[in-house]
Amino acid sequence: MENLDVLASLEAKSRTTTVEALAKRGKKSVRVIRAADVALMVQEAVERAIEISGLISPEAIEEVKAQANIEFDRLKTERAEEQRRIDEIESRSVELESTIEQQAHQLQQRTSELEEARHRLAQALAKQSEIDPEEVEGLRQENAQLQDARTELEQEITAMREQLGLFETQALELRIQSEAFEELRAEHRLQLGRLEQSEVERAGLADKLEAAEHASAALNTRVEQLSTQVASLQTELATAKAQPAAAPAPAADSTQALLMMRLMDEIHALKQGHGAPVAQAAPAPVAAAADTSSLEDKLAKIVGSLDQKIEKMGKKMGVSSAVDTEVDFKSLVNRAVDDSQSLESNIDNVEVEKRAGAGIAANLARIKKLKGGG
Amino acid sequence: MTHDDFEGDKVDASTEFCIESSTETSKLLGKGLDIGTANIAAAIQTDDGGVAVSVERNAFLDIKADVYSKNMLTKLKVPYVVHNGNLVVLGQAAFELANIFSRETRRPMCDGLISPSDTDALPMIKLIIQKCLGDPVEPGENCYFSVPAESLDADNNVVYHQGLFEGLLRKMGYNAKAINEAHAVVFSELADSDFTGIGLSFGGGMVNACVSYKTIPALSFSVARGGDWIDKNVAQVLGIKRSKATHIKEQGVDIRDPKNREEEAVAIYYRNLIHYLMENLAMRFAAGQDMPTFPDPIDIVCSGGTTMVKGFIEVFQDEFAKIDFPIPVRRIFRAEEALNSVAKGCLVAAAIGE
Ligand SMILES: Nc1ncnc2c1ncn2[C@@H]1O[C@H](COP(=O)(O)OP(=O)(O)OP(=O)(O)O)[C@@H](O)[C@H]1O
Ligand SMILES: [Mg+2]
Repeated sequence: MENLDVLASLEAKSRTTTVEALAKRGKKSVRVIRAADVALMVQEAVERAIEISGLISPEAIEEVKAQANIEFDRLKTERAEEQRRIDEIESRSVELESTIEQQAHQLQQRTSELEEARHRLAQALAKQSEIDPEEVEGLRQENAQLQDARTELEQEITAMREQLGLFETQALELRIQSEAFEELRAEHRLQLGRLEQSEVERAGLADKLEAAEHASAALNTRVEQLSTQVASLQTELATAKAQPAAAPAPAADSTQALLMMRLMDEIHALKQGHGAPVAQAAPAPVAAAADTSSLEDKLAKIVGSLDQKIEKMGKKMGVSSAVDTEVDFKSLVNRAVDDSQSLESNIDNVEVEKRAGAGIAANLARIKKLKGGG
Repeated sequence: MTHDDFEGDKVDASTEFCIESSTETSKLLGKGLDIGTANIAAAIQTDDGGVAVSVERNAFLDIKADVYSKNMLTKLKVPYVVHNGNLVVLGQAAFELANIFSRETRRPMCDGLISPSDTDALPMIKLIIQKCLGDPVEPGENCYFSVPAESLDADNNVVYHQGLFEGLLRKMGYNAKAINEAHAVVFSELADSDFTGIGLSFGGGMVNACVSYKTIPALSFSVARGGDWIDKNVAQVLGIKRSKATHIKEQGVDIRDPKNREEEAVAIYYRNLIHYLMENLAMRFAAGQDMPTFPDPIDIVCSGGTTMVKGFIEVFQDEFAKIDFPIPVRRIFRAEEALNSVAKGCLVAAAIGE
């Protein structure tokens, strides 16, 4: 008789439903039967049908039965073999464990031996100190030096390890960035374009600035010259005023005053003509310098913020793909789901760890009470 | 067959039978899912009023695919998938094998988030989630899953992470909603104080914090340091592999009383982590404008795998005493089921369905 897999058929042809669903359809009770019993019933029915039908001779039935017994025996032997192999593996793993344990034990022994040796050495040193303090002092110093060297070495190693960690992180970051690269590229180019443009603007501004600086320098020289003239004229005037005996002509005085006024006017005009950069303060070079640096600051800020942006985007590749293209999530999820379905795996035959925990009824009641009470 | 099995009314062609099977189905709706850097855990309510949490490590190990290895894994019931010509061992088994062969596991998440560079691992994560969570009891069942809060010290991208898992769970047939990880801790652990206080989740990738007033989160943040950070640093100072460091740490160290060099290293970084979190918490508290004024002293609950180490709460209290915390605190304690807290909190949220 061909293997009648009743259990499988039951599984295939039955459906699972909830008790609520049944209740909704007016069922207050259902009959319950074990799957194994159903299988047995079917088996018996089939056997009887065959017997009654007389389709198969009793001899043939006997033969089939004998065949089945042979098959059963074969399976049994196979099972036993399998079990034997499993036992073997298990015993081997036990052996392995005990070896590991032994070795661990040995290690511990060695460690304690070493510890003891150290202790003895320390004692010996101490004894020596009673006999020859100088020598001991020397030894101590040597020891201290050695200790220092060791500490240094350890520090170096720690530093190297840190460095290594850093390298690893960097490598990881690089990997993430390179993966994000495709998505970043367009944005990056855009930013580069902007950067270039601002570079051009910067160059233009710098040219203008240079010209302005030149003009400002020239003007400043002139202002300085004029200032010196004014100053010397003022001195002259003061000297002249202090010498009444010489009885200077009033005309001279007024001429000088006029000249001075004219010079002052010129300075004023120059200042005005110079435009914004110099207008605020007389010591023009300083003002110009401050202005250059502020412009440069601004440009640096622009460039810096662009750099930062680009870098941030590299780091946050996830964000950009998450915020910009929600579709990406879906395709990723879909792919993961599809992939996982087509993967060959034994996970269905394996149990996960199950932990039992206290119930949550009290929590639920408390929340409901809180909600109810406002 | 015996007639005892049939009792009650007559059986005819329209009678529906209920075939008993061994897989129990839960009538209780709503599931909680904790998607953590180190562990994925799913919580459901059971018929007997309890909660069942299914857990798997969020880690893989690639090994060369050959028939022998495959048979071996099958026989030992080690979960694997064949991916890109490799055998990829999943979950806790990957972690254990890595330790035996002295290799590093592949971790698809880092600092609480899925790393965009490891989308390769998505199908595997999906398998793990599916294994822990199962199918929805009915289409559109609520599933609340945990997400970390914005981090104070790392450039994290919660949007991408959240979107991805939302999509994944929807595709599995759930009505997926994200909830902040530490908020979930409040939901599961602070019922006695009307969900008022501070929930902390010390995980593998981060520590998440949530200040809550009567279930409402007033402040949430995270720091990108957790158990992994301890492992990394311990590995670095001891010159060992990270998975080895994890192993040492999880093997029952008492951080109040370290017994050797290794344990000393673990204790040092634990203390540092706790101190770091506390400083940041105090600072955020002092700076926060939207902070509620608590009428009474509040509770602080610590949960997450990283709190499982011996002496955690004592060291926490120790460090707490050292700083000038801006508000009065009544009690500092560890969640009884520290590893289940987040998943259970998600479950509470899912069951309430808000
Ligand atoms: N007994 C233990 N002793 C010490 N640490 C432990 C112990 N058990 C687990 N851990 C640590 O707990 C961490 C995992 O905790 P948990 O499962 O709460 O994290 P997660 O939720 O996966 O991560 P995250 O919330 O940061 O994304 C790991 O670093 C693990 O090494
Ligand atoms: Mg967590």
